[in-house]
Amino acid sequence: MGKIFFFIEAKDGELKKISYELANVARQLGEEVCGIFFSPSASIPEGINGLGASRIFSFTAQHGIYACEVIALELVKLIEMEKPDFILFGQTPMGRDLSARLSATLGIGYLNDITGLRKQNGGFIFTKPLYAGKIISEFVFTSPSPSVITVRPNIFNADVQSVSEVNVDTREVNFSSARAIVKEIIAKPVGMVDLKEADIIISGGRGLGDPKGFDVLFDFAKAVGAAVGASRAVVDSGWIDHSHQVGQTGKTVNPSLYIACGISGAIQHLAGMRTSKCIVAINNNPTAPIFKIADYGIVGDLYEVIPLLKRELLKIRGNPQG
Amino acid sequence: MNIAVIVKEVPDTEARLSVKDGEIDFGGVGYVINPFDDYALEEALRIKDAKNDVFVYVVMVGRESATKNLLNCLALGADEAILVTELSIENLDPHAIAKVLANVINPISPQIIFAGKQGVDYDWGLTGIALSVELGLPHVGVVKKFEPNFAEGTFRAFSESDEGDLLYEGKLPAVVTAEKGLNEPRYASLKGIMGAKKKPLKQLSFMEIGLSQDTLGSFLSKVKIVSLSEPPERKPGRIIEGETIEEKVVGLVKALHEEAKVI
Ligand SMILES: Cc1cc2nc3c(=O)[nH]c(=O)nc-3n(C[C@H](O)[C@H](O)[C@H](O)COP(=O)(O)OP(=O)(O)OC[C@H]3O[C@@H](n4cnc5c(N)ncnc54)[C@H](O)[C@@H]3O)c2cc1C
Ligand SMILES: Nc1ncnc2c1ncn2[C@@H]1O[C@H](COP(=O)(O)O)[C@@H](O)[C@H]1O
Repeated sequence: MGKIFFFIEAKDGELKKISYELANVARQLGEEVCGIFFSPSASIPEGINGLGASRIFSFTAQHGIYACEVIALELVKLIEMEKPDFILFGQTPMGRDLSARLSATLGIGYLNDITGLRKQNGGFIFTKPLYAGKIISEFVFTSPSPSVITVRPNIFNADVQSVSEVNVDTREVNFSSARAIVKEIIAKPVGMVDLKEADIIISGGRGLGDPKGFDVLFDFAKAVGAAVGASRAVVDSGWIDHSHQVGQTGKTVNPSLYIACGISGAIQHLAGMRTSKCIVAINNNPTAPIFKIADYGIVGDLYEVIPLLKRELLKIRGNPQG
Repeated sequence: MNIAVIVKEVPDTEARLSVKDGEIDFGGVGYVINPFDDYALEEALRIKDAKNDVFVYVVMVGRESATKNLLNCLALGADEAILVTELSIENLDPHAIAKVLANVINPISPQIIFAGKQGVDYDWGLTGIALSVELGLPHVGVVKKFEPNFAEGTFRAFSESDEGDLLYEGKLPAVVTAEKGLNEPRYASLKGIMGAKKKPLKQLSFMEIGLSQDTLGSFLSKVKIVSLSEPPERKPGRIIEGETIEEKVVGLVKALHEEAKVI
């Protein structure tokens, strides 16, 4: 009873953390859990058995990298055949794009960016933050299944659950009819930690005083394995790319540790990071609003604090050289 | 050539919201055009500035009071604004909004429809894409650079992904949803503000755009809110004291390790 599909994502041949998280959410929603995977190259990522899905529908394509419209139509066919109750995606760039097109194409219920779920009277109630987290709502579906859901990364557990055998059903999609198609990926520099999946984020704001200040943050991030975030003020000044912006018009993140350096704590910034497990603020102004929501604060010059923080963090991890 | 921009109103991002008697209290909250829609409109206006035969429509399904924000869209340079109002709009989900928008936009036959990547209210990120499905068009989402080629009827677009920037190629007409960074929105000039009052700002009901009561019945939302609450307050934190910065940092790392247990 209860068939659940979830969309697997991988990067550089490795499963992303969100894929494990989705598998775990899927197991809470139903008994039969099946993965959907798309990759132009047809290569199944390592460790696919660890998702606990014994069936995987794998889509491959030639003549292009990604075409939402075409993949969505293939998924429609699959869903009409298999009749799952839910189709889960990560709230990631590809997950958002495909899930929205899929739900619109089928005209079925859609709930995105969910951060929780619970059972009630045999049905499910889903938590979804609204208004940049100022309000928390709970939703139910009122339409018949199937329904489409996207799940916020870094919230649900990512436990591995192994199955001994995975049955991979490979299908080819044809992009020749696509009217919008990805032709190229301009790869990011390697070794950058994804903000949405990061365990530690160090973010810089106008308090850096200079675009070069980000060198200090990147140095810290590299040493401790963190991702680098930013306030809108410094993105708008062109100090760092928008892909690093945290907040209402940037990314919503929820790492274990968020370190805000030279960020005042505007409501639109808080919107993107307030669900972090632990927030540290480093600011030379003791009255900066960021201290109101920070778990720990240091009043001081960030340029003095960050190198020491790097040293002490590495020390406590037993890796003093970095 | 026509370009349509779909825009929605959202509460001012500065606003503090609370829940009273199970409902969100919007008392005293001002409404603005969704920030991502500012980029959508600006992109349309830049195309208009660069070409001479472009007519920019701004279309919204919203409340009557939205005329004020729509007037500002006209002041910025849009040629015509269309506001579809109906009492029941509060109960419409993005699929239904997209159906209503499709009824307005179909007769306009725009070459491009710009939308925001998401509304900063419910963060659906669905309406633009659902509209493209309704219109039978392709879409490109979360665009941070857009290069149309009207002579060829094609476009190139750049969009962000976890792997890097995606280079899209496609055919017009298409729906494009705007990411921050696509451009820098302009401010309305005095001349623009004066001129806006002379531009058409049409208010239409569902009936007037050809939607019958029956079709409306099929627009029932597929999801329903069962509870609203305010997020739990974060526990008050503490400032780590110390004689020197070094002492403070040592204290902080100790706290992160022993109390918060995050490192
Ligand atoms: C529609 C809309 C959407 C928005 N979306 C976002 C968003 O997504 N994300 C976002 O971040 N903002 C957003 N904003 C902007 C937001 O309102 C603030 O303007 C912005 O967050 C401020 O950035 P900041 O904290 O870096 O700069 P400031 O507010 O200027 O703060 C700089 C801080 O650095 C401190 N400082 C200075 N020197 C030092 C030093 N040497 N060491 C330590 N501290 C120092 C100062 O005390 C100050 O607190 C949005 C605004 C609007 C209107
Ligand atoms: N009621 C509406 N009227 C016109 N455009 C809308 C409406 N709702 C959403 N949109 C457009 O669709 C985008 C995404 O909105 P949403 O799906 O609500 O996140 C917005 O940025 C607008 O461009």
